[in-house]
Amino acid sequence: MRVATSVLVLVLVGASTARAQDQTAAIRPGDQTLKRLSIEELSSIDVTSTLKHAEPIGASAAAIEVITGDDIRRAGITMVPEALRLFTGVQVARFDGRTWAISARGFTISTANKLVVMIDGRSVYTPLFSGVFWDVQDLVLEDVDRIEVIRGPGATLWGANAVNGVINIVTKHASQTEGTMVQVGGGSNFGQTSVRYGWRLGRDGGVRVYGKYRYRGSQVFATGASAHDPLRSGQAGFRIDHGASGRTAMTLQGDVYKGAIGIFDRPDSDVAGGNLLGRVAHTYASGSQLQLQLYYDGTYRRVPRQFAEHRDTFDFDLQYRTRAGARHDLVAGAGYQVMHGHAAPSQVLFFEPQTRTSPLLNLFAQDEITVVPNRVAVILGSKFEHNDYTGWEVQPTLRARWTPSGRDTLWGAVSRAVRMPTRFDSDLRFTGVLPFVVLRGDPGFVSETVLAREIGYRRRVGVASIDLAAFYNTYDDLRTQEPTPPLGFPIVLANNMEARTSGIELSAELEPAASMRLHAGYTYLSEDFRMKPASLDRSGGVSEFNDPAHQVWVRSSINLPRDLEADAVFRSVGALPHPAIARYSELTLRLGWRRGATELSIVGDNLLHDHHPEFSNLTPPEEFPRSVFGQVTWRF
Amino acid sequence: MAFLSRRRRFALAAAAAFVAACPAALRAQRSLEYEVKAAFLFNFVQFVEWPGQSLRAGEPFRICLTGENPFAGVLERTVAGEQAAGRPIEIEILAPEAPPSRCQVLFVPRTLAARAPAVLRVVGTLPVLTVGESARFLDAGGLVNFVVEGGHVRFDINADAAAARGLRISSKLLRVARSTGSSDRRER
Repeated sequence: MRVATSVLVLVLVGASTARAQDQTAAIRPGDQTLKRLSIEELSSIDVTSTLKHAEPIGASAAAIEVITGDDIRRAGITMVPEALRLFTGVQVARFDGRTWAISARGFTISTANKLVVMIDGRSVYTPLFSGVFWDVQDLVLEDVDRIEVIRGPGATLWGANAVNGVINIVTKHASQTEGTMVQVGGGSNFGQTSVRYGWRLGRDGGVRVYGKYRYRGSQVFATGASAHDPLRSGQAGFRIDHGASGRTAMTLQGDVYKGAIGIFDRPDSDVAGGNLLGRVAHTYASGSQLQLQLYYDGTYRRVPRQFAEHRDTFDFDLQYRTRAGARHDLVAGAGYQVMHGHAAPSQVLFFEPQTRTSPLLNLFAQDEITVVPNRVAVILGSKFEHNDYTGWEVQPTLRARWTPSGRDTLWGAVSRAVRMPTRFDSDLRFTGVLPFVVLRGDPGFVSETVLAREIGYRRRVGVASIDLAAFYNTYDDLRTQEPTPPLGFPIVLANNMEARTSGIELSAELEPAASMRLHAGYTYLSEDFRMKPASLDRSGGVSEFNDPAHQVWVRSSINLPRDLEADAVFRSVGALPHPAIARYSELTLRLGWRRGATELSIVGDNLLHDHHPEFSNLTPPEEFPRSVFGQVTWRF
Repeated sequence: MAFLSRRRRFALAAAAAFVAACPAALRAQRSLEYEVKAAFLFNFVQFVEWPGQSLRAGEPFRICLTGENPFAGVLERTVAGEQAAGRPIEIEILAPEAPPSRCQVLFVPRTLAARAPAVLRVVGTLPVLTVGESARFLDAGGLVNFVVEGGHVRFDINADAAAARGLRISSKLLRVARSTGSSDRRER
């Protein structure tokens, strides 16, 4: 009957092109992926650029979570790293006034090195140690569209160092930030001002410029005495978007910043940097897409009595997405990056060589294959990356997705990823106050590797949804510190450790009424590290990980009458083993009022303690005091 | 049956030849925009309740398209094998201004924007979720309107008009909507 109807329609409607295509083309995979996404996720897809940066393919066959700019606003968050506390399965701990220890699926240290972090397609982790200087990753949070976190290896698309996850921070399209926004906030330990002005460009484009100044007060020691580590920084930038709804979309954006960050026992450290990024995406008549992105990023950081580094990065990236036949959805790309780093010697360390230029070439391809239309898809791909230290690295993934009904998804994946050696692993020479090298990197340091096995399940039922993921990872060639006999010095970095980690991540969302949303997350993590027989390192590898076994968070957002908003974020973090930090719970409360052009809010942070530590191997450890602040935002 | 399938093969071949000869511009509609819109339509169906009498026993759930199909097959694939209100979903193309009495959803493509007021007049107060993608669609009495804003597909909902037609829209959908008032363009 349906066949007859469709033939009839085909003939009667005069074989409209669209209809004819329905009948000739078979199922294409993208449609099947998209319909599994939530409405929020659908709203966040950039339909002008469908390449990996807006790639929904990973969305349903990986442990992915997205929070929106509005979630960030409602949680009373004022700094980018704090926003990562809203995710399930991400470990976030403050170390001192300028440093955060942030990781996923374990390996949390203050120089955590197993995540890729991007802001608008620009990588912000430094190849100095493969981690992120979170203190300089600042944004006008009002202009953040969303943050996506993919837990587990993302190396096939995102490249080396996406060992345990990918954090993708995306700012709003410039056409969404029209008008003037002024935001002033201040309180017991905090003050900041942001001004942004945006206007329309053509029919669907826009331009915005912004400036921001922020001050974060000092943290405290356990005695309550000031740690003298305030953070002051100024930043300005722009973003221009053009041609959002046409065939060709273009983006040009850039930022500059400069800041000074206190350290309790020495003069302030200085930071400065700037970046410029251009991106063009073109959609062909066939539906295939090509994207070209170029950027420059320059950073400078000087920490007295530690190190000073100046770094320039030039990055070129090309991606192509197309459909081949009825069953294949292909994404392929190539990238080339040149980094030039210069580290001046300090009293305690130097790098050998002082200046290093590192080229990095990558090629990748991924195919999503529809096995059973609407039900089963397999995703297969690999990245091939050539770096200066270890040559070619292969990072493949195999994923499968089964969607037994419209409301649930079961997925599994096996992937390999690597963390490339960094200047820290290879070139570091640490003397401390002694006249000889105490600890050194090794040019023979190889990549750390992971083989990850993941499985996940998602289900949406009416006003509730749940997302469950479990993983079992085996790591090899992890970093160790090998003493040199007979005296023990120098200690040489080597790859003599293995690890097995496993864990469960569960998140749930419930919307019992239109005015109320509840989110909750739970993470369990088990880590087992062991030295290889060749190792002389007796530390047990404790400088490579310090993670809680259990983490829980609950977030609630309630809209009250009279334009009031009440929000609460509660989190409980299990004890850390080494250095030991006791289990703690914390609470953030926010009360907001929004009418017309004006928004007022008052936020209490760290409400359950006068001050407490989150993560430290400083003596004495820094602690983070309770704080209360208010914020006013005008939009006109 | 054999006759039908032969006819079908012939029709397909003819159609394929026609497509091949078509200007590329016509085929460009297979863009991600419509893939996302198709996924939204499928999502909308899950978040709206139709009054009991609008779904006759034994009938499929119908998403109707006015005049033409800008989804180029994506919508059909999106809903293939899926259910709504416990029934299989079917896609049907209606002549413009034909009464959509058998439809639960009626999509009015932007190529027919000029005729949208007339189409909506014919719909009247039937419990049909009218979805458009053109300026002033809500002003003309439509219920949901897609807007591509900053590269993202967003939508506005006329919640009062939906309620007046007996459609219950879930709060989740209303929350994600860019606006839920009765006219087209407002600041949030």
